[in-house]
Amino acid sequence: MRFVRLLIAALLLGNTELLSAMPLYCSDWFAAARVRPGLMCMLDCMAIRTSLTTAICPNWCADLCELNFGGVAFFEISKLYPALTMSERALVSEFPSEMTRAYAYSWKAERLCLTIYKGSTANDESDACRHFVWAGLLTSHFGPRFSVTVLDAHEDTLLQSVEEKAMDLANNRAGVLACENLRLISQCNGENLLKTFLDSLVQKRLIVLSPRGKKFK
Amino acid sequence: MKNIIIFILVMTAASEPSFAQLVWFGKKMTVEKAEKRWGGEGFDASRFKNGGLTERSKMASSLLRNKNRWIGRPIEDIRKELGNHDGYYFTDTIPAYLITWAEKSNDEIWQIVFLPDGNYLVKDVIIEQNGS
Repeated sequence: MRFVRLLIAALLLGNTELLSAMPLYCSDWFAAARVRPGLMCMLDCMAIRTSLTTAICPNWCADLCELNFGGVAFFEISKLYPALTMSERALVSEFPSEMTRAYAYSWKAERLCLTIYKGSTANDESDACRHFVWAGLLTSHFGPRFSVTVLDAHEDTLLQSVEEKAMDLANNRAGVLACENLRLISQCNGENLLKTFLDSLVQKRLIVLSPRGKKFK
Repeated sequence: MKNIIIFILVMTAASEPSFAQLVWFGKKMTVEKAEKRWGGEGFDASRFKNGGLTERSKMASSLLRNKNRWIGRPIEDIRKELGNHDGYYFTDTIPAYLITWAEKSNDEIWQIVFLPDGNYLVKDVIIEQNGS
């Protein structure tokens, strides 16, 4: 019954991809705790007791809160987002619910990239992965136009060097294009984006300023 | 008892954004633990900037003990003084400096993070487990 409700919520939100990636027992684990919506949802969810089986479920708290309570939790969290660029702040005020979802996808992208890279670091392959996958997930949900607006707003900062910004913008564009191609066959999802990212990396179609091999030897 | 603890946690988080951030994003390490693990060598910006991770980790506790030196300063000052950051915390623009790396698959990666406030000034300095 819980799964049916979750499925309906996912369909209403147009977000079946989250549902397919999340272990089903996590939705039961979440349901049993009777978590409340809003900012409290994330906190409560993170505090739910886990067992060996459900140990990874707190990683899905963001998705569980989103699926169960829409964008409410993320909009609250976005108030805490400390380093929004001015352009992002403008977008948040104009499109609060869309931007809320956009940040949810940035977290999801990082989690997906952590499945292939140990740690999230700057200017290396994990950085390229985060941008590529985030861009792809955004495109999957919003289409290319709004996604590029969000991605460009994220880079509209003087706190990064020109080279870093160029790397991020190039990898963002690659992610958008990859998703556009995958959408032709209705397969733009996190798993396929990750595979496409690895292929693109091998074919040297992405920008990586500081490859890991060189950086940490 | 558990409910009381959760209630206190939730109320504190709701009333204090910086605490909420600590709850949301990653595992943190206290300055005492950092000193126990990596030692308490005095902080030197030039050595931090040019040194490797081992060098940085030894200075981590000292950097945190003297965090007032950083708080209130513009975020861009951090890069000028400590060089390009190599860690990552939530977004590319938050300066995060690795102090350990995972040589083996179950090793933990730790980093020093300079958290900004809404005006891009340093609000706090923390030691955080990267990717946690």
